[in-house]
Amino acid sequence: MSVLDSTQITLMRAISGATLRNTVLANNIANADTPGFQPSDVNFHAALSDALGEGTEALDDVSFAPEQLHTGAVRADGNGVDSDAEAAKLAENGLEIEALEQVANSRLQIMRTAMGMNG
Amino acid sequence: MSLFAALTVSASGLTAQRLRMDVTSANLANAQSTQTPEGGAYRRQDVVLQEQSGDGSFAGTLAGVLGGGGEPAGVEVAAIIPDTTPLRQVYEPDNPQANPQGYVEMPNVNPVEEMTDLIDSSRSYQANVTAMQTTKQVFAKTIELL
Repeated sequence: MSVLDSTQITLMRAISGATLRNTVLANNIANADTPGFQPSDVNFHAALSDALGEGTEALDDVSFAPEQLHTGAVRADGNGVDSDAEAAKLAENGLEIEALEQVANSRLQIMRTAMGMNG
Repeated sequence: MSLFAALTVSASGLTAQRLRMDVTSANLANAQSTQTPEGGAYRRQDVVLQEQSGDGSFAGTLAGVLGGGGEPAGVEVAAIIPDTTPLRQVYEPDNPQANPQGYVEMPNVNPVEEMTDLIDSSRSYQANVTAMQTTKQVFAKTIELL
């Protein structure tokens, strides 16, 4: 049995997925002026819930990949990036990472207390 | 996956937008330049951006092959191309550079267009800075986990 339970591992995987999403959304904003560019996103929630449905073993192997969205062109040069929507998604994703980290941190503190490491 | 990938991506956006601002400034500065080292009047320059296709590293290529979509790598400047729209013809018969018909070729720079380009690139720059700040806040929280 691992020291970390499946909830803790799920939290860690979710943070990893959300961090990749952060990079992908930053890339969309960086390419807001690239002709013909179509934005991407990472649906890490779906990948995680699929893995959770298959059991804890699948959690170790879960991987996240960016998927290109086909939003069509919002500008004459074929660019499909809506900067406002991307900025909103980035802010939301940032809050989600902070929330996940707070929960993960609290759970780690409980474990530390149980191990007698907090005094 | 590099921890600071998102920061590198946003930084590439900052570099690209700053270059756009540089080129726009050059266009505005040369709005009256009737002579260039290449001969003829100044032609407006335009920046073409493209998505960076990975860093070419082994790890990046392997991730791309194994995981389908590779890690995004940001934006880069593909080229700075001259605007091929015709130069403006201004009637100034007393100008030493006038042709036999009395016309002087002036740059095809439209200051209004340059100003909107300048505002556009400055807003895009700010969007990248905001993205960078969000990433930075998140990373600071991640480090608190340790």
